[in-house]
Amino acid sequence: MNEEMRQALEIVSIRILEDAAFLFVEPADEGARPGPDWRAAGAELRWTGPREGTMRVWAEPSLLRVLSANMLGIEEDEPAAEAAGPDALREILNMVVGNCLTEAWGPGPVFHLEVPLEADPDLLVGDAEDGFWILAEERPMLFRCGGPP
Amino acid sequence: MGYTVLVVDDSETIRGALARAFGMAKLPMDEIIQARDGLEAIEVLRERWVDIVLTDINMPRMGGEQLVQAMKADPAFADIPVAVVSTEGSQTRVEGLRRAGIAGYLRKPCRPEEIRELLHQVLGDWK
Repeated sequence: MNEEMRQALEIVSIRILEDAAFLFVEPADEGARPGPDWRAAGAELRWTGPREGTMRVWAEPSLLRVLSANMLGIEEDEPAAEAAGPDALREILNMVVGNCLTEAWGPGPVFHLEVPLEADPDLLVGDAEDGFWILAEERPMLFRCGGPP
Repeated sequence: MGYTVLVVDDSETIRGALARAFGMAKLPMDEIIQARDGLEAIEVLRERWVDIVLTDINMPRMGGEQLVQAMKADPAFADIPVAVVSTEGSQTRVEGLRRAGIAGYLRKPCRPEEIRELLHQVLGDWK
């Protein structure tokens, strides 16, 4: 992972999740990371510009419900919270990428962000090895930033 | 009497969160109309009067920059204020949007009081 983006991600991901979804977030040490059987939904966003790249985020379905419920101001067990979970994850990623690019490279460069999409589940194993782990409401969440695909 | 606001964003969650923020900020709203992209927004504007448009930038089919250009080029919509609510952090792009005629800009994530301040700045005193 690019060092500037990794540093930006450490600052921005926690702030966005706290500000946009009202979650308690902290970096996850190695002992807090889930095992290889962890099942998570993912979202992916690519960008072009002076520097190109891709970021993915992974979270377990129960956390997606918390994300959407908090953003929409509804209860976690409402059907709307479950339905909106993947969209909420994509929008969190959109905010994280937009803010990370400014944090890493300043407000000068113009980047074009594509529309965030569902991530290929097969990419989770590789991302887990060198991604950035956090705990959101004590549940693991994984970000992985890389160059152009 | 309150305002009619058109919220344009491809994320259903963001449209819902903005609608929630209007309520939390105790804004005088008559109606919040939602559109998923610029093309849907243009369709709404052909049918309905709105006091202000809040739009994202990156959306499928027609993004926010294209929506602003289309509105400013059409005499029927040119005077409707447009504010951008986006993750965009490039000063160059935001300045370009201001030159294109946007009335305000907020960066996501934004707090209800920031939305209230934006609408107050654009619309003036409440009706």
